[in-house]
Amino acid sequence: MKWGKRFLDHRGVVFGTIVLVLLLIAAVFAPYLAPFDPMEQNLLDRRSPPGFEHPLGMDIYGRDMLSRILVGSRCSLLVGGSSVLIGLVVGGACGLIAGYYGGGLDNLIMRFMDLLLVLPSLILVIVIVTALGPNLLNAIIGIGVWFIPNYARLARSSAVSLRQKDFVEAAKAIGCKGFRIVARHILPNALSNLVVYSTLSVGTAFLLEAALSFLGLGVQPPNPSWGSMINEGRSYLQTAPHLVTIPGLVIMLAVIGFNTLGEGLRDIIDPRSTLK
Amino acid sequence: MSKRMFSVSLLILVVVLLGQVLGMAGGTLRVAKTSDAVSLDPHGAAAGPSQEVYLNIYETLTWIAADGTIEPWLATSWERIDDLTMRFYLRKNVKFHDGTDFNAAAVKFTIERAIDPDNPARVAGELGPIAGVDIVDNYRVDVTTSEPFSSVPLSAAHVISIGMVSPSAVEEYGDDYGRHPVGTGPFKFVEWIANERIVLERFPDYWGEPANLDKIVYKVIPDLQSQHFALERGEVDLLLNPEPARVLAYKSSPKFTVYETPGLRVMLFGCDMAEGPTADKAVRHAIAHAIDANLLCQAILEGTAVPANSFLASGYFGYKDVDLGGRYSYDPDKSKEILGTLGWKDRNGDGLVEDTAGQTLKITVYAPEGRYPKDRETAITIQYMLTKAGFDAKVLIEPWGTYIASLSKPQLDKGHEKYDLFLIGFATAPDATQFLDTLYHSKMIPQAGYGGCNWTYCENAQLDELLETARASFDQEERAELYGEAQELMADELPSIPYAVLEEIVVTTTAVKGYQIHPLDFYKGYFYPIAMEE
Amino acid sequence: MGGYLIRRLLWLVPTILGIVLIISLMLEVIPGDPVLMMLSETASNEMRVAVRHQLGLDKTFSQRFGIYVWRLVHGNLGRSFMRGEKVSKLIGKTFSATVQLTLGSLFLMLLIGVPLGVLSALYPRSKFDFMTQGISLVGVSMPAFWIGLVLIYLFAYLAGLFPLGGKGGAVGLILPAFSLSLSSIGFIIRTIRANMLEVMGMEYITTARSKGILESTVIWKHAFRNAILPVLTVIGLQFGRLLGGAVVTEVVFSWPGMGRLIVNAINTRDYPLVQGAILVFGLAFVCLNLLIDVSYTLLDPRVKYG
Repeated sequence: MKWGKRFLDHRGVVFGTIVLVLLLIAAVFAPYLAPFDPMEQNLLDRRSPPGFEHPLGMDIYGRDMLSRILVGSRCSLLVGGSSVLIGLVVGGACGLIAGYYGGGLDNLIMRFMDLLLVLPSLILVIVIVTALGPNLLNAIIGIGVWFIPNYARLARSSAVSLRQKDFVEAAKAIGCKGFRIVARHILPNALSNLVVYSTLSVGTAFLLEAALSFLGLGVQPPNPSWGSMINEGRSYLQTAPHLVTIPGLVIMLAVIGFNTLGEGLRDIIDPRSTLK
Repeated sequence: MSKRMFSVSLLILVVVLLGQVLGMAGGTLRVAKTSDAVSLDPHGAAAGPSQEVYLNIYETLTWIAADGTIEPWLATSWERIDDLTMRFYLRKNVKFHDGTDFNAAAVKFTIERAIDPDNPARVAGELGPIAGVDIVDNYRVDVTTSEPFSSVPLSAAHVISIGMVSPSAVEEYGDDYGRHPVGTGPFKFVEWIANERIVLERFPDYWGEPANLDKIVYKVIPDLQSQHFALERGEVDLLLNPEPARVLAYKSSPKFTVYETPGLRVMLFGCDMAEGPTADKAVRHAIAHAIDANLLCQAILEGTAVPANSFLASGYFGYKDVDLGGRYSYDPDKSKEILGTLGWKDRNGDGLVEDTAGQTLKITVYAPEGRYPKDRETAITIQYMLTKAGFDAKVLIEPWGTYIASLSKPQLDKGHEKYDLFLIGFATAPDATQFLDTLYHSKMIPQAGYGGCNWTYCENAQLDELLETARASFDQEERAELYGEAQELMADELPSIPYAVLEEIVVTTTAVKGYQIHPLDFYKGYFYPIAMEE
Repeated sequence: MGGYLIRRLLWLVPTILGIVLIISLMLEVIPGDPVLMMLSETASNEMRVAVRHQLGLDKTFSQRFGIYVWRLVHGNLGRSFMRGEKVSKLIGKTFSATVQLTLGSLFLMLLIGVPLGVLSALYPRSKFDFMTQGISLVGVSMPAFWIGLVLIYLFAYLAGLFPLGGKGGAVGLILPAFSLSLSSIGFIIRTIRANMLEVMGMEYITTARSKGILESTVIWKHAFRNAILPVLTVIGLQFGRLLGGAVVTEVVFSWPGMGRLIVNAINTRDYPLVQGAILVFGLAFVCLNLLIDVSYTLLDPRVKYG
């Protein structure tokens, strides 16, 4: 039993890490890895299916799909990583403070967070991005804002459960001020939860970014983004399905990778939480 | 009887007789609509989705034939009384769908309602300087203009703003009239289920031959792809806006009939003539050489448009072929040559040209999304074409609402990123006055508190004079010549770069007989002559 | 309990006002002019001024906000700019369509997800379990709009089994509801599985077994009942996610629901429609959360809200 369990976890973490590494390589080295210029249009060959010269086919402007997928990973990683970071830093800080201090401050912060959670995720993000103008930066901000209350809640519950613990009492006893306690004692212990949640969130951020680009609100043309590639190929689903299937599969694999990584981490850190 | 009415009646008679022989009679025409109508009151509707429906409900004084001649419709004849007055003689024994009579009072009511300065009809701007209507007697009206305007009969055909409405119905329904339209047309309104369907049925007391069809059902299917599937599976019979990508497939299929004709919409890139690199005529010429209009028509618009060779389309009165395609053939090397003479050369081998200080030649292409066929795709392709010619080009795409707001603001006041080329598809009534004056006359430059349509900021005294003289003249030959000169002038100035003329294309199943395509897009949805084969 | 309920209900009022204020502020910031959108390019300036006045757009923000709130209190959500119809009517029609879609997805989620979750908990580490885990992982990781497109292609077009969009009665609901539900199915499989396994490892279960109680009773009366509780919160959460995810699904399937309404309204700068729709959405959410919290207290007497 035990060996089997560890093997499964191990496999998940390994797979997830491989995906992450591949993505990072793709993003960083895209211009060198891409066989063609992702912007070069060969209109007369548009929508060609995968073939020898263009392994993933060509898009509606006759641009090489493989090159665009590779360069598109930059957008996904940038949005995924940055928005999660925003949520983590801002939301995490608010949550830790609210959880530790409690009382009126807690109430105020959490009520504000509730307000942000009132709307379904995508709609909130759509409104924010439309208000600020559709581009990469605002997509990051929009998705990041949606993450903030979720992180706040998570951090808060960690802080609440941790503040009763002995070592906090001990720290107080020797005269540590509130902020120090939060930063040096509560935070490191809450961190593991936050890290796991972050890894899982990247997957969600990918999906949100894809949905935004699909609706035309994400990164602006001609820069490639996996979601906008699906949107461009939508009208040709019948005649050139590769335009839609390939970017979708790539998104799915990336999200699966991050999900397995996050869950693997969760198992390692806290085996009780998901019994296998 | 007018020529048009005669030929249509004959057609209907033939179709009906054939129908009796072949078993056609009545039938229901199911049409796919991309978006639901906003209002079936010509007053409240600004765009295609509503207009394509009420075209079958309403009629107006005159009708524009496919070759541009103006024919009688609800008016049997007309004559010019003086420089500011045109008298129309109305058809007798015409009834509205609610049983009331069509007469001078209805004409006065409809037209003055549309031009009411406090609450104008949404598209009344296209009517020109019409000031009011005077009733002479029950079947004679005088339409007055505020300045000499030779195209009054043409404006009188503008069914999308002055489709004749029943005054009693408007009074009865008030604000809700948009959902209970009453006109004189061959079909009357039955029901409207928001976002699902609109149903019309034959009006038995129509003043002409009653229509063949029993019913018309408009189904709202927003997704073009779903519309295609619906057509394929026999859930609808007619598509008013088929996907460009499928047109070739429809043409080669025995199951469908494709109707096409060059239309009136000219797709062009306007150039900012006031500020920035495009203010220089030579730069505009270089840009024109960098654009491959043939490729755009073939590959992006999938053969549903033809390259533009002038600033107007052939369906406009006053059109002259100034061979833009030949003068500015696709030649990126020529572009680079022109830029070279201006001091822009590729000094560092990156494919883009720079000046002596190392700055690249930045051009921003601005385009809307979802408003014109393949607008977004065209802009993206143009950006690439410009880059290949050495320009450091960027593309900025915004939803139509934002786009039109930015265009309309006066230059200084924009608070918006500067753009140098903007994408527009312009179409007006088929007379050069409205098209050229609106886009290129210096009077129409957007100013604070007044939004005009001269978004290129074209200010050319010679052009202004040509346009003004032509507008005021009543001599058609003189006007044609003046407009020809204007187009020659513009061919050198290049205030905008037209690249295509869109075709009007409609696709039906082979069961649909009798449909007639028309260059004017607002006649596309006219289904009076149609009969369904069983 | 009563006091708690009342307090939560009282919070509704400032929450709603907060939502309205935020949305109104955002609409102020959004570039674009609804008046210009509505009129043709060639409209004269007099016309623009007239229409602007008609729509009340020439007033200041605070004036407009005040008017909006005043009307809101009287139950008037205003009229849509683009369509002229009452916002409340437009929302009413589309809201029911979205709710239909969401309930359909919820139903599929329970129908498919619960049994799979329970079974995989009962036979952990079996081939079946691995397969189910795989399916749920994939379900959670797929972009909903993408799977919608793929399903349309496979089932609606190729197989001709389903209508191609728009509302088509019960049959037309299946594809969109299914594509929307996939990620929730994945989620619920794992949640149920994890909860049941945790519960089944607990002491009172082994006690029950040692007492000789039938295995099936052990499973159903004890393990399942206790595992189901946190699932309620999950259902509530998923309902919320489904409502939101409905946006892209509605776009892909041309389903005439509120998600698509909001996207169109935002694109056409139809302010009253955007405000009204988001308000209704927010309200629905808040009420939903309240309902879940209340049912939680009712079902689990251990939890008390003071």
